[in-house]
Amino acid sequence: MIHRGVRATRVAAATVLVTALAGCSLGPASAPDAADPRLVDALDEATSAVGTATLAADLLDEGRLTATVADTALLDALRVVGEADDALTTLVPPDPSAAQHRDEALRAVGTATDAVVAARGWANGVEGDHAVVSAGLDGAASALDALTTRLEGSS
Amino acid sequence: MKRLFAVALGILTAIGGFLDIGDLVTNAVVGSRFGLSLAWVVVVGVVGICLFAQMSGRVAAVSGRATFEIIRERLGPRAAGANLAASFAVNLLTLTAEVGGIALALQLASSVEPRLWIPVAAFAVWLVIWRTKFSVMENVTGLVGLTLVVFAVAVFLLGPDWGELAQQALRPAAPASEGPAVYWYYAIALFGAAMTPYEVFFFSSGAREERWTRRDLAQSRANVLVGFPLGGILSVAIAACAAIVFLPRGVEVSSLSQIVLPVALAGGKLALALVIVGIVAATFGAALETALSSGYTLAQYLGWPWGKFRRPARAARFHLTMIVALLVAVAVLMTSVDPIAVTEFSVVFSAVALPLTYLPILVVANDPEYMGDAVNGRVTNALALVYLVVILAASLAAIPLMIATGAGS
Repeated sequence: MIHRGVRATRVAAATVLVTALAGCSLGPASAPDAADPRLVDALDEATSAVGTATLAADLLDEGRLTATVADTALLDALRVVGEADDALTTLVPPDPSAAQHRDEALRAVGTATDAVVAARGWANGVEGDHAVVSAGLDGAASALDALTTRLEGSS
Repeated sequence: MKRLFAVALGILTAIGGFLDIGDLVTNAVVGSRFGLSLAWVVVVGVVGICLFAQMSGRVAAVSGRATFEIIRERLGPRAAGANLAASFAVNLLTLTAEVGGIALALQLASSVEPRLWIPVAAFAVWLVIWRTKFSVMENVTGLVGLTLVVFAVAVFLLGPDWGELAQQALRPAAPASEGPAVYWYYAIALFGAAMTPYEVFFFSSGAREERWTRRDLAQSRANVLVGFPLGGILSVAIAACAAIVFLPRGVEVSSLSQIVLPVALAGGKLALALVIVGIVAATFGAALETALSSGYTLAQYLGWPWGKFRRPARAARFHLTMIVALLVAVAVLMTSVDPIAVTEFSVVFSAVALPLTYLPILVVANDPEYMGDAVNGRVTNALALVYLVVILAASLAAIPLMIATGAGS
């Protein structure tokens, strides 16, 4: 009885292991045209950061936010977009198609970073005006949105 | 009149003192990702903490003993020691999150980097514990924390689609963009944020600090059963603000600075000032409670003299424990760890550790040797057993879900 129990446990463990390894073989590496979900995650992060920056800039321009809070919110947004950039730069694409997607994502996140940096510069009274900053952030948001939609459509 | 004033003060303090950095962050994160589809967890958590706090307060008032004194007596030193280690660790994590929360809130007011505020915040917490009377400490932070009612006001000022909010709240399911594992992970996080163990250590030890007797049970019941649910409404208001402003924009909350933006959108700089004051008060009050809880738990387990009702020289090890706990919190935060990340872990581990304190309190609350005729009634016991199942399930599922979802990412 004990030997049967041990054998059953070993069979169950082997089944779980095989299933898990089979699961590992599925996913982006086995579907070359599908976008890596990590790309989409990074783009979502950057989109979130741009959204925060846009809101903070608009509130500051309307006089509903202090410069201190706006600066802190923009700094936090920069940190988030920086994490998105790190996630992309450390990604190793499995094939040329994925590499192209990754490069496009890097460019979009780079544009978002520039827009948030510009917003922070304006918020601290260094340069620019709200209209220019707002246009930059809107442009970055549109680029991120378009790329995210395209990548999600291909997966 | 005096009695009415005391009751009102107690309730107001309970409302204002309900929220801490865990509630602020977790509710905002959840609102930005799930809308109000997890609001039901706040309701479950509030009922749970009312039940738990009411039981532990009654145990302290009737038996004359605080939580860890009873845990050691009832479970024996070994089991209680294991309980202490886990509870103390979670409490320390929560204290770290609260001190970090104070620093982040002060950054919003000053633009000074949080790392510069961290030692100042910890010193201020210690100084208040050292010099201020228990009741003053509790009442001031609780009353100032009432400014967080600005979140509830902001919900109305934002002019939301009430039908949409109601639909989210009444449809407790993961949105299409989020998987069920992440949904349940955040359900546990919200539950842990509402039922943090330090609240019970503080509540029961505070009952001894203020020398509660059976005559004080009615007031304690009013504070808990009126104050905590109203405090819970503020939790839902925080989630609602995030749901109204961030969810449509695809913005995910990951910083304290984001949490105040909906309030500024709704009410401008005045509302912004109130919310920052409220966040400082809430996190400072919670830091006081968690620091005191670290002293209470260790001193009660080891049988050291404890309590602010004793002069510091007569409870030296109690005060030393709190100083060491604050120093550890500062040391951790000075490594530049993100206080928001610490907060998110602290609420999940609070859920993991919850059975360790809940079960002993439940057992003692039913023990006539300690409680006399003030043991749990049938209704209380029925509810308590339901919650025991919920707490055990949350505790067991928390870490597997944390691993499976990458801590909710």
